[in-house]
Amino acid sequence: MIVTNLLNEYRKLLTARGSLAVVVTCATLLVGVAAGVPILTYSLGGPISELSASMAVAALPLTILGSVIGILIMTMDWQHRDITSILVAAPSRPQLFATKMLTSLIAGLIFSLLIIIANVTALLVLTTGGVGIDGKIFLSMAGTVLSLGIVWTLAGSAVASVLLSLPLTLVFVFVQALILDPALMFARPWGEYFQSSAITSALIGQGPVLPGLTSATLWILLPLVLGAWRQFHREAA
Amino acid sequence: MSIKFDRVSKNYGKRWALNEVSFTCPTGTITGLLGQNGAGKSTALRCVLGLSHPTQGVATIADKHFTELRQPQVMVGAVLDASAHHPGRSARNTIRLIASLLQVSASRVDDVLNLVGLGGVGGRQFRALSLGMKQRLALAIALLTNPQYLILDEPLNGLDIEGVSWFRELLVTFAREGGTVLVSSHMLAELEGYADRVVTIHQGQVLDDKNLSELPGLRELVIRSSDNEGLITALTAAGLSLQAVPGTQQLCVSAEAELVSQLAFSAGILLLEISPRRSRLLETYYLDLVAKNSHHEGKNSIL
Repeated sequence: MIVTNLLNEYRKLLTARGSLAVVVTCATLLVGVAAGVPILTYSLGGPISELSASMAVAALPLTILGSVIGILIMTMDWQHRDITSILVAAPSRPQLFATKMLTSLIAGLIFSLLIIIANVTALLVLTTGGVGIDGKIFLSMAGTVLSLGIVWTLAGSAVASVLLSLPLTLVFVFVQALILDPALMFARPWGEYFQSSAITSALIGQGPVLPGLTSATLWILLPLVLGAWRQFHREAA
Repeated sequence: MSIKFDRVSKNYGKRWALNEVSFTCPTGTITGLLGQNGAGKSTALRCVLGLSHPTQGVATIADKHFTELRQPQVMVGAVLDASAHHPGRSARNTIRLIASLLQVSASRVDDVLNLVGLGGVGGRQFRALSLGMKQRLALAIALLTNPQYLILDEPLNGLDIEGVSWFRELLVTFAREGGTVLVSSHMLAELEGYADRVVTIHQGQVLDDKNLSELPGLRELVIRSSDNEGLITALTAAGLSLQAVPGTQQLCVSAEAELVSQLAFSAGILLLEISPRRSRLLETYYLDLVAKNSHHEGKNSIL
């Protein structure tokens, strides 16, 4: 049943022209950057450490694109009002909500893996040309990419579950990622407790745990709780 | 096994969309829900489908709340808003999506698409479908599981003449086979043709709940014969009362067509015309009811 529901969520995403275009564009961008950055670094004569860490740079767009996919998964039924037919066919709102969150999580994983595979492929091509790679740095970067993918897709879904509007959530996430998060860097020391990047830093062991926890509570847990309540009670019309 | 509203109220802030609405749709019948735009018809339908939560009261199907039914999605088919689907998804994929939630086979999807006459346009994007096609698609989704209950909100909007005729046949057959239908519609002449009862909602309250057979003259026939006087004698002897239609050779009688034909045949009279009377009784009944209520409201507001 869980598998059927999950497949259905992906079917929703991939059978509608607009959302298919978004998914394909995001995947192409991520793969392009993931493969392009090491090639560019190598061609510019960057050191081995930089080349090994190229995946982290390639994963930066994932913060936004992962969120976009999460938002799309959570809002598309409500945005186009398919929700009335869906809830008549499958009336359990908690099940629908849980499926959407799980779908987002898996989508985040898939996107992260795409980046890793594209980056590894590019590095393999380069290493056959005699270039060495620092395995330790590379593995650490792979962990970063996986964390970024999961965290940002979940965060996008969580906020979207509260707002239930595609444009509104997109604006929110863009403001948060491109304006609020950088602005909080200038508000040390308390600013880091609200910075969403603190979650990933804590996850990969490159930042303190407490700011990671407060940030995860603010940007993922709280929206998730509010979103669940909203999804269970909102009129479907 | 009926659809039942028991003192259902629903408010949005200070506005009461439904106010103690109570009525029952018995098994094997078609109940028409009448009312102006904004009267509360769609809210009532959403309440019974669990899409909207009543502030007070309960709306049940087979004595259970929709979400408490063992297989609600299999038992109930619904058309609520035919235009509420992703515009960029094809008609076939739209229905496949719901079919997979219902665990209905892909062959059934093609069957219902053909049944509603959309077999040839399954690949067309939803946004490119006409209103009538969207309505047919919504009906196809409602019919996917061969449900026992149909809950339909304005299902005739945009349907062409063939579509309306097909839909009428579908509903009558569905109810005859034991299905229960609750349908809201503004097309009173159509409802007159197939509904067994009508419930009129006005400003969130039930004004009247009536069997259509209680409306005098609804099932009248217009007849014309080779010998009207002889026919009057024959039918009057059988206990039927006739009226002449002024300015014509036609007579009007409230009886089954089969009985009238038999009596005319027995009397050796040739029937030149026998057809249902084109009346606007339901419309008249509805407009009178609403006008009367508005009049009372007017009086109350003055007082």
